[in-house]
Amino acid sequence: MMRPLFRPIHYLASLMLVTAIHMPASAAASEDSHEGFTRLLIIGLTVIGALLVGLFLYYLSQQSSQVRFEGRGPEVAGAAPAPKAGAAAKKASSADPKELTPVILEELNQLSGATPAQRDRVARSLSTIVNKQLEERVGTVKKELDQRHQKVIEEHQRNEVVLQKKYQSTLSEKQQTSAVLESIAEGLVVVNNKGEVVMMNPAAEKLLAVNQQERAGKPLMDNVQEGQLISLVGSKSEEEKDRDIILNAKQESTKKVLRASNAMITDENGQTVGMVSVLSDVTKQRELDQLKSDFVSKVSHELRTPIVAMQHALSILFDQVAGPLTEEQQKFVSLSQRNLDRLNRLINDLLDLSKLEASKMELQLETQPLAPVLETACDSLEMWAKSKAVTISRRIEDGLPDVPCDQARVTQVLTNLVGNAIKFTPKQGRITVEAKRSADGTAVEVSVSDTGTGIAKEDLPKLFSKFQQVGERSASDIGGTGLGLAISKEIVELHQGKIWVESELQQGAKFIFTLPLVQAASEGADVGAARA
Amino acid sequence: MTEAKQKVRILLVDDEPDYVEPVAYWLNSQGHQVTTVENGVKALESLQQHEYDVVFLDVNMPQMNGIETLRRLRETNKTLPVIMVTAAYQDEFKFTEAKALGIAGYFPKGSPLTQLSHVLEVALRMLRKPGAPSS
Repeated sequence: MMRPLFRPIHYLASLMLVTAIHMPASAAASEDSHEGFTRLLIIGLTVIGALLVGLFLYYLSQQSSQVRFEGRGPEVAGAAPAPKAGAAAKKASSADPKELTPVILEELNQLSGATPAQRDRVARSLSTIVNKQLEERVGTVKKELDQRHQKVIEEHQRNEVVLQKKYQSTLSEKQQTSAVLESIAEGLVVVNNKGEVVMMNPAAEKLLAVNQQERAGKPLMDNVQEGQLISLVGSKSEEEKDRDIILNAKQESTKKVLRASNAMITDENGQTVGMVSVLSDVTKQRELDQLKSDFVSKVSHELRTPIVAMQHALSILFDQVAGPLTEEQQKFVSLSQRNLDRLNRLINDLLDLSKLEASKMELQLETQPLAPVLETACDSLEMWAKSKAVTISRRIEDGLPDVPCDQARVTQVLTNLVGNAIKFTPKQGRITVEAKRSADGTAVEVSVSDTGTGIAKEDLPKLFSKFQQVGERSASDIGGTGLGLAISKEIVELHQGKIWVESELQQGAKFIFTLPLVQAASEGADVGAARA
Repeated sequence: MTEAKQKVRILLVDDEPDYVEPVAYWLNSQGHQVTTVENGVKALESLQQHEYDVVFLDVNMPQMNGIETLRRLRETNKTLPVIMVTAAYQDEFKFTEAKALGIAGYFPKGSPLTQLSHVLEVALRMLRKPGAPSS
């Protein structure tokens, strides 16, 4: 680049010099002294002009090299030739700070009173400073940008890690949940509020002998064999959280009993959106219950038969059917009878308790007059009462309507109440058994009142709970399991009646129970089932 | 005890001799004529050979239980009063089934013997008033 630039300069300078030298020579030869002076002036001016032109050209060349040097940076100016100056010139319009030098120089050229060298120096140092600052600023900005970029990347990576973790944990949670649902022995069925199966685990499929694919989206009651699967969905009431379902599955010949525990699913507004049912196979339990119940009834029969035989034999003796007894003999026969009765009641109580606990007590309801029931109960305890010189009076309202009841069970309740009255009534006491219509006329009210020790107020609430005996227990004939009232309460409630007590200490006690004249059909029908 | 004067022919069917003995003794003491057999098969045989006014039939018996015996009896005799003798509480007693077949009453085993007169009275009233034996 340097050479092509200098070539025309050299050429021009030498041309002018040659012209200047040749011109005075030819002029001196042909002209006079005046003409010679003019010629000399022309030559001189030409020389000066040539010099000026040369200087200008030199300056130009310098300037052009300056451009390049500055382009290389201030520290190694001119050390190595730049491969491409054109590229720099092309970029001059862009924001490249390195291309600012010519602009500055241009500006400086506008200034007067400074030599080119000074301007050059100023330009160089200015450009250096500007460049430095620019570089610094650019560096800072770049650094900042880099940092920001890095941050963004890091944040992104962090987010990605978090998301990944979340995804993994959700996935594993889901896997865990489904693993749990798949492996639990209890069947799980989720239905929506339309009663369609949303979800069903393998255990439920097995228990209900259905396939989820067949099931999904179908009402639960569809395709159920002869409607034996009682609607799970049907139990909307809160009380019916547990219920037994009896299945006569086609695949398995044996009957299956499932226990369904239901829970409603509600959304945040408390709206029912579905139901979860946990099904467990309680067939084995039911079989055991049956075995236990069979055993209990067998034992009950085996225990009662000899007792009844003894009771009858003793009553023949006591009533002197088999011949007269001395007073002493009568006393001991009576004692035997009393204790046999007691033993009988104990056994009955225990058996009843086991029945109550297995919820096996079922009523044989029959609409009948209450009078014979009352008589039976009082008759059976007459002897005991007599032995304590306690009188039992019976008052039955005229025209008392017939009542649907289980004769044996009501007899049991009365026997319990009258028995208790005898127990807690001192000698010469009085017991009154009364039956009348209730105040509102919807039930028969039976009461047993005594002149006994009475019951303290604080003892009243625990009276009807199991194994409770309250009050003075000094009298030797006060015994029993403490189950009588609990069982009585259960029996009365099975009859949809109520039982309560009115008493004050030393004022005697009055036990009252009601038997409704009309049994609410729905409840009466499945007394046993509803209690399962 | 007015009924005691009337001699009633009773068939007592029960497999428990220790139960049967005092009951039969007591009924005899009341002036009735009591025959005892220990199962349903023998009861049906005896019913064919002899005439009875009332049958006391235990529910729980081996060989042939009371319900089955009653069913067989009702095939030929629709009017003979039958009193079912049940275990102390009649939980195991298929009451409705027996009622459908026609019974004059039932006597829970735990009841006092004096109660027998009452049940017997009811049954005999039915006999005197010919018609459906069931209530």
